Amino acid sequence: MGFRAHMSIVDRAAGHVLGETVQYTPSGGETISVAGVFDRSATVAQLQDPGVTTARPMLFVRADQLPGDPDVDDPRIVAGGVSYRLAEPARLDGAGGVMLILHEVV
Amino acid sequence: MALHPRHVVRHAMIAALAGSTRAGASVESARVRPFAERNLPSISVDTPSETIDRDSIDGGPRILTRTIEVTVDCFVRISDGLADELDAFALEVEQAIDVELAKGHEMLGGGIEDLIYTGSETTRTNDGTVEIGVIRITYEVTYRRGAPAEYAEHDDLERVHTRYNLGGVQAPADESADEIVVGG
Repeated sequence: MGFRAHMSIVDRAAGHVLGETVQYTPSGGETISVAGVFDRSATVAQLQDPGVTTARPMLFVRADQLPGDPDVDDPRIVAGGVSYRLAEPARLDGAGGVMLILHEVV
Repeated sequence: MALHPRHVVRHAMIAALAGSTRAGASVESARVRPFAERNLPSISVDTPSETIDRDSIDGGPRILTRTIEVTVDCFVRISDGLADELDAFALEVEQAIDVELAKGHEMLGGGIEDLIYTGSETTRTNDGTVEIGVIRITYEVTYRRGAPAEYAEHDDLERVHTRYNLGGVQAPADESADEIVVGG
């Protein structure tokens, strides 16, 4: 079994153990439930002095759960009751996983 | 204890901005700790540098013309349209400072010769829960100060008496002598 296949198994296992269900709504499409690993790690945005403490919301999902290409879908994602949109193009890990960097919809 | 003019100017700028922009009362002096994103919009006012006009060194008593750089950093968070938001924020700051300028010699609490807008610089980032940006607006505040700050009081110069001895070998009776009356 190759590396990608191993990664795929690990991703699915991690999704079961660490994941949560989020709502994924493509622009103009139907809302679906997706299992993903959501993280909101703290960070400091270095803007002049003194900068701003903030967080970096991100969601890891299996690409085969999504109805289409997130960069095309322009989805709204609801996790923990907060609505998000993509902050930047989706990052594919080459093993079937997709990291979505998110921004809150204010 | 007397306060340094930088301190006075910084806090006068804060007073001029507090309540006059979208930051409301969140205007701080030379903040070191990062702002929390949830508390934006906020402003940090700093006075990072001061220079003197070299031409003011000459003359006595020595009165230096000093210029303080004042930076006004305006932090904001927004879901979309960050550039427009920063420009609107900057306009509020400039209008608040224009109110100070209109006070003439009383601006920033008095003792200030000039207050000049010198520019702005925008920095934006995607690394947050939303877009975060800051616009740094820079002013120069000029004032004059003695060096030392206070001179002892001296009598006015009224009369100058000079004597000149050629080569230092002339008899005192042969020296040139002048009496120069300065005052009326």
